[in-house]
Amino acid sequence: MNDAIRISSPADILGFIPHSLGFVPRESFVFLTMRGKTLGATLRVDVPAFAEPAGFAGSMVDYLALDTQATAVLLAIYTASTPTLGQSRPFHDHVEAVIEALEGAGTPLQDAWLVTPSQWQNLLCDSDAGCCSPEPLESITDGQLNAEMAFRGSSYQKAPGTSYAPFAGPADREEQIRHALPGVLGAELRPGRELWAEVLTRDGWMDPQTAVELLACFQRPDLRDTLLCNVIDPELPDAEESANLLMGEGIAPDWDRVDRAQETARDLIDAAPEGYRAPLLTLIGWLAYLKGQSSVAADHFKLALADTPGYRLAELMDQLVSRGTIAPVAKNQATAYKRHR
Amino acid sequence: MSHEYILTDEDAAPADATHAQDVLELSMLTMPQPGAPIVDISWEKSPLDL
Repeated sequence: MNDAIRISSPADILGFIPHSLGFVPRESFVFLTMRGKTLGATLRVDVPAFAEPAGFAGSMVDYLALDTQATAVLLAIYTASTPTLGQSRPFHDHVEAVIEALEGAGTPLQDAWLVTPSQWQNLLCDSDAGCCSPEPLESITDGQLNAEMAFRGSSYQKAPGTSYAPFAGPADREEQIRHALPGVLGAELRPGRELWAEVLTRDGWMDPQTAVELLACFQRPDLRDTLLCNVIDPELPDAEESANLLMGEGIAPDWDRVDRAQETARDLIDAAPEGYRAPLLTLIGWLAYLKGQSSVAADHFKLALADTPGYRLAELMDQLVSRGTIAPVAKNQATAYKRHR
Repeated sequence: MSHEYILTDEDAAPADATHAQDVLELSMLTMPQPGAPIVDISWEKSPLDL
């Protein structure tokens, strides 16, 4: 059976982007590498509000070079900005610099589109013949590809961003966690690791007592670090010698286990009063970083810092993604996360 | 040519930093300064013909 979905129009390409990223981008440049007639990597960055055009274009070429099989590149600019006076399109100078840099890299820009909150249109066509007039966004969402992807179970957020509901659990939950803490602090790392390992192999519901014990475990910094590492390497007895693993270097994660860990952490956040959520938000963010979803990661690190101001691990990881770092594991197609496996 | 690196109190990791925090702190020393755009990458399986 041929499992391919045929992309037959620019609307289909634009329809694919949210499925690839997991959300509809805003104020973003989204590049797609092409390998002959098939797509390779999808790369999203914030629009270059202050970056100098040539430097921005050079950085994008460096990132796009991660797809060593790329033969050409597509670009979609998502913005509500209007062109500056005398220019035909928003970010005109940046687009021109990107065109030049990609040409020089041997992966020319094959086509580009501008997506605004109300319509989309070709970004490169300057014909007055009316051949590339603006089209409604519905032509993307109602397109055949979007319908086909949804039929296959793919979904995405209508906008970027992350939020969690305020704590609505029992009033004595904080007291329960505090009561469990001395046992966790006085113990070795092993009992906490075993509980975490057991929960990650469970399906579905977590009982309140287990949730409280795990919440206490995550409050102890060295155990927290070990539990993070154990998502990727269940055998690690502690987080010592974990430099490469933390950076995402030289690892090939079990992505189903990573998905389960994020899901479990979300359940634990629901069970955690404010002030106890930072380690779990940091865990979800770090795993998002490993997945190549740095904007999702950054959202979580900021939420962690809002929950517990000065939370050092979240501060450091936020700095990591704020330097344009892509986790090495996410740079390699063979080891990278795929939403639809 | 020699280089001298002088560690000050500001360079030192907090006394209660975990190993993971130390590692991240050290890694950051060789990276560009914050301010680069945050980059998302996806290799989503796309058996997509153009």
